[in-house]
Amino acid sequence: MKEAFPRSVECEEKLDLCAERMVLNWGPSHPATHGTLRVILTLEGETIVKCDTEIGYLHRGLEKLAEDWTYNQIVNISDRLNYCSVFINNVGWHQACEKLFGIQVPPRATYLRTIMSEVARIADHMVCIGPNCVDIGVLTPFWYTWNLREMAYDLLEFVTGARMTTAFTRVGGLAADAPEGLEERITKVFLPEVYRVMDELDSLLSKNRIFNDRTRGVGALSKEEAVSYGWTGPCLRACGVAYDVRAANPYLAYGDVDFDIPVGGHGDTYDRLFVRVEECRQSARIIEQALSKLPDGPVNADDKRVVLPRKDDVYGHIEGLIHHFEIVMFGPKAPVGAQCYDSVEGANGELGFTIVSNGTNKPYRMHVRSPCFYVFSALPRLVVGRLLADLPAVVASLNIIAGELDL
Amino acid sequence: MRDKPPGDPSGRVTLADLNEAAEMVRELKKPGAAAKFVNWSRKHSLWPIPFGTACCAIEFMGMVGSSLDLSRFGAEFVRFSPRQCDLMIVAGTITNKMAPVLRTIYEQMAEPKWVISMGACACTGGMFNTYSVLQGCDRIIPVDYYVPGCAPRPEAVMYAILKLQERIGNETGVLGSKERHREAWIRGVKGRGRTPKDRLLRGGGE
Amino acid sequence: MNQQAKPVIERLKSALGDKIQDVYEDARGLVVRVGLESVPAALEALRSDASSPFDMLTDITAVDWSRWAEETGTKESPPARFSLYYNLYSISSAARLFVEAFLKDGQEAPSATHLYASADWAERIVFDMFGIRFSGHPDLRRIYMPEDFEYSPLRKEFPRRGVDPQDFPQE
Repeated sequence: MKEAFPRSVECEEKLDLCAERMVLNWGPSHPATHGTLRVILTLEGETIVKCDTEIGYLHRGLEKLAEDWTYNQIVNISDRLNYCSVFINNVGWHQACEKLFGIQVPPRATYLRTIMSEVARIADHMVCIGPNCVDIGVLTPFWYTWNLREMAYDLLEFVTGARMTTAFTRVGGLAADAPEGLEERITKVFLPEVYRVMDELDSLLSKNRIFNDRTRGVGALSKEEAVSYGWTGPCLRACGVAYDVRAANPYLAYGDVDFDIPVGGHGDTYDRLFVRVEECRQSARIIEQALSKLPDGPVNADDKRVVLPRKDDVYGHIEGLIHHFEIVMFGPKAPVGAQCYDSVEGANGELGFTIVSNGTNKPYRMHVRSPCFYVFSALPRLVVGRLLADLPAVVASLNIIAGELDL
Repeated sequence: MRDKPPGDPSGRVTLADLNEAAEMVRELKKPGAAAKFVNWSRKHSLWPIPFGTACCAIEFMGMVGSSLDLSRFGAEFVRFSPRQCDLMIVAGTITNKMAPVLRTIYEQMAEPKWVISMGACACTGGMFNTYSVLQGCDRIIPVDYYVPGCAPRPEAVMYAILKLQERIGNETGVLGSKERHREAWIRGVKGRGRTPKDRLLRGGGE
Repeated sequence: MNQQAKPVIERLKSALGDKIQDVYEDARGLVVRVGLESVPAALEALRSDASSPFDMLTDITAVDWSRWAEETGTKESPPARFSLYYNLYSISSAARLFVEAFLKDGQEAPSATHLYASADWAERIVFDMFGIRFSGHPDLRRIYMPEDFEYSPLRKEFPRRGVDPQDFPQE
């Protein structure tokens, strides 16, 4: 057949398209970049040859802002770090503050903080799994996980008043006690739904041939590398390292409850997702146990310098009025020169706060150790050599929350 | 078309048909009729592009999810391509680094286009009055509706979309965004905004 | 956690000798202060410790002490303008340790990227926010701020709202 476009010998050589590398920009506005990330890929055909990332599109200067806000106001900053599991960030911040101040929180507050942290953890894992499935192409689990997330929101709203940005902890305890009916709502409505949705996700995804092909062996990292990269949380546990801050250094009520730490075998996308599914089941177990052991009592420490006094003290005694005035106007003051680091098990890993205090009501330096940051730093290592289509699956399974990544 | 009378199986065009057609043309020729039809179809097929950067994007996803279901109002599926959308919902903090990206995406959208600024950060910079945050996306793009809140409830954003639909339906002409935002454009041209790149070079200010 | 870390200090002292300036405990845990140039040696010794290897560099933080005297009203200021904290964790023995080093403005710190992969990005943040350079870092560039940003935001003299804040023009 006579060719429509006669080719010279030179053209024949240039037609080998795979030899030409293409630079592709992925993000920062892209459906599969969760939040604003930018990945600059060098592709040879469909294979990723080089990968460079650029972050900072949501850098809001939170650490600088924290130097101007009081310890109780900074909880609002912590809200916006990992905005999918907000209560855990609140707890993390105020736990670090309490360590700085040297205050013990009463048991009822620790149990309530534990329960609401686990509810937030379940909500965060749902945000990871739902959109991850959408990115791979399966839209159905998104609706189911989002429904469960709406139920978690209902619970959070019932207790704290806000769906997402709760800001419910204070130095010394909680802003208010949990309302009546919490136990019933959790045990009768929320927990059965958690178990049901996890079973549904298992049945939908775990044996699905396409899902398995897209996720098994994709983006795998070995144990030693993961630890060297500073990975923590479900991503590290999927690689086979059973490091969970709740078990290694029990805080709140985690020392009093029984739970398992799910660990994956291969460190690939499949493991990361199903470690999260299993963790939701363990979170439900923790909530059940903590609810049954929930003690009575105050939710704030008995420390006049940091905790607002009762109203009859405020209106009845001059010391109460003075303390109220000082705490509301200026906020609690930390000891001079105190420095502290405390970490909690965030939904993505070890969320740590370093605080340096200069004796005033505002910290001198506040630093957030964000788990997503270290997880994302390993992205080039995970995707180089793989196909372009593996990139959204891997990025989504790492659960990158830009608020936490970019501080 | 009205049904043919039973006694006329051939389907020939009669004088009554012509009268009816002339009536319809007179209706359409009335000022505003075509606009009404165009605006009606525009408002019921607003396809959003969620320019979601931060926490508000999660609440936006809550609106798209099955409890509130935005698609029953015509916003069938959120497409992230600006070429396929007409409603941009700026959900989340816009930083100085992200501002040129936002402007580029806005300009890549075809007319007609509307913008809803969702959340305190998009409206005014929110609680982040810092060196790296753009104090309101309306510094670089014209906004039709502002939804306050941090994060606003999905019902609040739904209300804004419904209000926007009402407003589009009540427009008396087929308007593009330039006519709607005439004043804001004039202000911009008069020098209130310097380019985002200048801001970045100078280290965070406008 | 501090209990597990104490035996390590003994081994570290025998490995580094007088390079260790101070060992103290505060609300962070156990803190080992070394000179800036001994930081890689200290990290190496801790990473290859016999019974509790500190295999994870959780974080690198920096603090700018230039306003410390003014804000606390004390006359004694810290030995240098900046201090670097290396937050190390040992998974096998659940022990946490901080390595602290002071450095002056303009002094270059040695990079830890040959020991821990997490040091790569952690040092980039410190460079971006404080302007502290790390010698031996493979790719030291800004990570949060754009490449052409001229300042170091977390230094105490940089204003929170930026050099030219976005105010409305006075009409």
